[in-house]
This record gives sequence, structure tokens and C-alpha cells, in this order.
Amino acid sequence: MSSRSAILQAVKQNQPTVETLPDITQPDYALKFGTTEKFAEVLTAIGGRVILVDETDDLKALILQVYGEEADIVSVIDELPFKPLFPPGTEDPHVLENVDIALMKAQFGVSENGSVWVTEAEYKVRAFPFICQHLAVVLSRNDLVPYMHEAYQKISGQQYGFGLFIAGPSKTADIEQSLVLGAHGPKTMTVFLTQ
Amino acid sequence: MQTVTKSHAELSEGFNKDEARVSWHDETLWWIRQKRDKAAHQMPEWEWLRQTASGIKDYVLGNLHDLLELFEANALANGIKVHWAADAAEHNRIVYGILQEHGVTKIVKSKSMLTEECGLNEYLHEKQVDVVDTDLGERIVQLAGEVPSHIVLPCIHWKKEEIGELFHKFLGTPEGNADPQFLTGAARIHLREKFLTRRVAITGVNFAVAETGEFVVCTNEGNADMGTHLSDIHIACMGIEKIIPKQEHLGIFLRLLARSATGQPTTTYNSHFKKPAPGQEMHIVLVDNGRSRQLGRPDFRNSLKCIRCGACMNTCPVYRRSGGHSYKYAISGPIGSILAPNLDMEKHADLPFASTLCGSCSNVCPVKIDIHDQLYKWRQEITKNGHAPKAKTFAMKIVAAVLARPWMYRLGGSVARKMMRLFPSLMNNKSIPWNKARELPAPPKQSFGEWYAKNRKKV
Repeated sequence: MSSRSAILQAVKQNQPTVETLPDITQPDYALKFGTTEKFAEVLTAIGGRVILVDETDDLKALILQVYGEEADIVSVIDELPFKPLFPPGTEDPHVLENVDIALMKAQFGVSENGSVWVTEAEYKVRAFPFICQHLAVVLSRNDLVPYMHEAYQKISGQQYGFGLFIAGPSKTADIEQSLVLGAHGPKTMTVFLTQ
Repeated sequence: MQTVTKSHAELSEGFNKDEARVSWHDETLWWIRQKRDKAAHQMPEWEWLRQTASGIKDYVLGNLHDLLELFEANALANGIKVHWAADAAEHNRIVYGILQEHGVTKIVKSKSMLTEECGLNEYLHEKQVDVVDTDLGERIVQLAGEVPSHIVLPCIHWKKEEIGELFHKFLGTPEGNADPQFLTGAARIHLREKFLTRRVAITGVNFAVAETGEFVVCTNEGNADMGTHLSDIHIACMGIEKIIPKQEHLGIFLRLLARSATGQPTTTYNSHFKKPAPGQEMHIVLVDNGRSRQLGRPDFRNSLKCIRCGACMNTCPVYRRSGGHSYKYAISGPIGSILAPNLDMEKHADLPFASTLCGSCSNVCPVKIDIHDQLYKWRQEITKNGHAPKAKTFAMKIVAAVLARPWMYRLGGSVARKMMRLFPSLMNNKSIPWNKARELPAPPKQSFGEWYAKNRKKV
């Protein structure tokens, strides 16, 4: 008998009878909050940075103001062109190792934990949000949901090969619990929160 | 692998020789427990979340067979290759087989307690495969030739000065530099080179969704992602109990996991792997290794609900003062003590006794595992099966005999009180194990029974 059959048979024989799944609707007494304020508060607390963008702001000019006119920015947002993802003639993610600032859109953000949801539609290449030194994300305030429950309602049915929540810069506290930003991935994460 | 025959108590004694260090270890973990409390107490819905998570896991245990089949079918449809391993040895053979097939001898690996449980690193080392653990804490213990002492905080027992020395030796950092920021920066450079050059990446799995065939890996460092997205082959290893029914259930578990582990609102990266990247190969190894047996033990099956947050370790007064290595098992602390005896009751017979049964572990567990009840039940199993220490069994028999005979109990008490008064050094002797780190109280003149008999008449 294959291990597959043996495992499945043993599991079937030993599993208890449980028929119902619990209801996962949040109770009414769950905390209520303003999604923009909470998102900014939480993301800032976990080492990220939130920049509120007004309707009248020129986003590209604002990004250059934040990172400096000389900033080395690779953008995968068509409306915000900077340097392209790949130099001509290659699509090997390893060439991204020298990306300084990666600029991408997020589909939506989650206020309770300061995270943003992105998939291949936004980052194009899976390594992009990790291999860069700094991550810049553009997100609309209208696309903030309060909790992870609403987040998964939005994700439900989405076709993606790889999707992820990102909440702040890459970090570690493995050395005596001292927080260090920039473990392997980006050292900073900035979310430009548009109207 | 090195064979360890010392008991938890003996190994703890070694750990306890350096009192200042034990206090530091204890306080550091308690601080993390407090961060967990702060996160939990902000949320009025916290207890509802725990109850719901526990309920979902009940359903998983009751329907694991169908959920595993559904997960497999969906993962295959997504283009993921699925393997089944009955035990640790088969798991290791499968992983090595994939490496051999591609002629790969150098790999990167992110944190996976399952591969620790299976002894994958040692196995691959024997096969001349170079494995680089990429979680910073795991890399530190790996360079030192150790195993993690905590499932979330692998080098919680290491001081920064020692890490500075270790990095000086292996990574060439300046001698005497123990600055965490600097040392992390050195590790970043060291590991980036590995990420960029290695073709195979192994990761663990936090949750696997039956409904969609995807799996989720949670890290703060981004090391799992740096490894997998720069590799040709991704091998994800998971215990069969990591299945959850639906994608929407991730909302419940991801809200609980990081808050319980470290008090963070979430881990930095919650990566959902559904399909291999173009040109990439993705494998999942589903491992039983005793889990189906544990599922058949009604008293102990709830241990399979564990989501590996480590909250029970951070709160445990015994873990905090004995260190993770004293448990001699990949998963230490209270949860490890109820998982390990399932694999080998005799070898791990000491672990369920390494507890005060205070119940704090059960109170912080995000999926409401009755950990301290199971510790108590394992003690009974172990004693029934004759694996309890002989001295303890003998002492318990004497106690049972005395407690069953009131005259013997009264006599014993009266003799003991007299002895304590007349020969205090005989009773308060440090050679008696109970007196280690304890002092006997001053002996009362009479027992409570005698006092009550006398005072009752006055009323």
C-alpha cells in the first residue's frame, strides 16, 4: 500500500465525528475604528510610513520629494513611469538585486494590522517586493477594509499564482529581541495613501 | 545525531547553574508574553476568535480525510506536485530524491518545525547536501552547531555578545562588535549571496487551504520569499494537520497567530502560494509521522490543533527557567511535552512531568488546546505503561499507603514535626532533592487536626 493510501486510511479510521463548521461572522462587540486613521496608526507602529496624498497633489512629484530627485526608482505602475522592471533582453528575477526603490500598487489595505494585499497583477515578478532596498506602495483610502474577514471576502474567487499581505519593512528581533528593520527584504516601507 | 540520555530535570540543572542568565531568559520571555496580552486585551472579540479557531480545528480533525483529498486535488490542479510521507524517514528521502533528480547539493531553507522534527538537516548533511537556514535566529544556532530552543525565537537563549563572537568566527565581523543592527546587517549580506545563488528553497507551511489548494507561509524577515522566488524549485513541507477548510478561515487564524506569538498585529509577510511561478517547480510534502495515531487518541488529539505560535512556551514558568534545549525535542515547552510522547512514550516520558500544571499554557493558547489537562493525562499513561522514574513511582506508593491510613498519617506528621524541631539540619538538608532552591518552613507545634480538635470544644 502506498503511503498516501496508508495515511488516508489511518486518518479516516481515527478521525472523530464533527459535522459543523463555526460561523465566522464577527460579533457586534468587535472594536470599531476609522479605517484610514487605524491603518496609518498601525502601520507606523510596526515600522512603516504612511504619507497622506491630497487630491491636488502630483503623486510623482511627491514621491520624488520623499525619496529625493536622484532616487533610483523601479516602477511597475503604468501611470507612474520611472525605471522599467527589467533591462531589455532579460526577465530573470536575479537581476533585480540592485533595485533600490520598488514602486507598486496595492489592491487594498487592512486597517487592523496595517497590511496591504498584492498579487502578480501588481508586482509582476514575485521577487520584486522582497529584493528591493525600499518598498513604496500606492493605495487608495477607498480601498481600506477594517478587518481580515473583509479582506478575504475581497480575495475570494481571485485568480492569482502568488498573493501576499505585506505589513511594513522586513524585520527581525532574533538578536536579544532588539528590533532591526531590513532583515533580508526592504529596510523601509512607505504607503502613499491617495484619496 | 548525538544521543542524549539526560532527563529534562538534569538538563535544566545545567541551564540553572548561571542564575543571572536564567533570570534574563525568564524575563525576556515574560516580556513577550506581556506583549501578547497587550495585543489580545485591545480586542473585545479575542475570546470569540479563539473559540472560533478552536471550532474550525475541531472540524478539521473530524474531516481530515476528505480535506486532505480535496487539498491534494486542488493543489495538483494548480500545478503543484504532491508527495505523501508516512514518517520522518520517508519525508527526508522524498526531499533528497527531488534534490538528486535535479543534481542539487546546495539549498536554502526557511523555518520549518516539521523539518526539525524529521531531522532533515542532519540527514541532508550526511548526504553531503549543504543546507543554509535563512531565518536569522536559525542561522545563528546552525552556525553554532545547535538546534533551535524555541519554535518562534530559535536563539532566544543566546546573548548578543556571543552572537558577535560567532559572527566574528564565521562571517568575519570585527571582534567585539555585538550591536544587533550591525550583526543583522552582516547576516543580510551573508544570506543575500545564498538567496541569489541557490536553486532549491525549502519552506514550512503555516496553513494549507483545502478549498483552493494554496498554502500560506508567514515570516517577518521575508526569508521564505527571498529563497523561493529566486529558486527554480520550491519544496514546502507540512504536517497533515496544517489543513484548514476554507480560504476565509485564514482571516481567523492570521488574526490570532502573530498576536499570540509576539504581540504583533500580523507577521510582515503572509505569502499565499497557489501556483508555481512560470518555469518553476513547486512541491508539497504531506507528512503524517504519528499524527494519524494522535488523531485516534481522544484524550490527546486536540494537540493537533496547534498553530505553532509559541505562546505556551513564553508563559510557561518551567520553560522560561529551564530553556528549550532541556526538552530534547524539536518542539519544546508545554505543547512539545504533549506532542513528543505520542512519537516515543518511553524516550519522552520525562516531559509531561516538566510542568507545574498551573494551566497558563491552556489560557493563552489561541486554539484553546487543553494543554495542562493533557500533560496530566500523559503522566497517567506514562505511569501505567511503566515509564515513570522508579524513585517517583516508589515514593508515590508510599504516599498512597500513608494517605489511605489516617493513623499512619497522624503518626508520620507528628514524627516529622518533632524531627524538624530536634534535628533541623537533618530535614533541611540540601542533599534531599526537594530542598534544592527551597527552604522548609518553621515546624508548627501541632497539626491542623490537633488545633481544630482543641479549639472546636471552646465554641
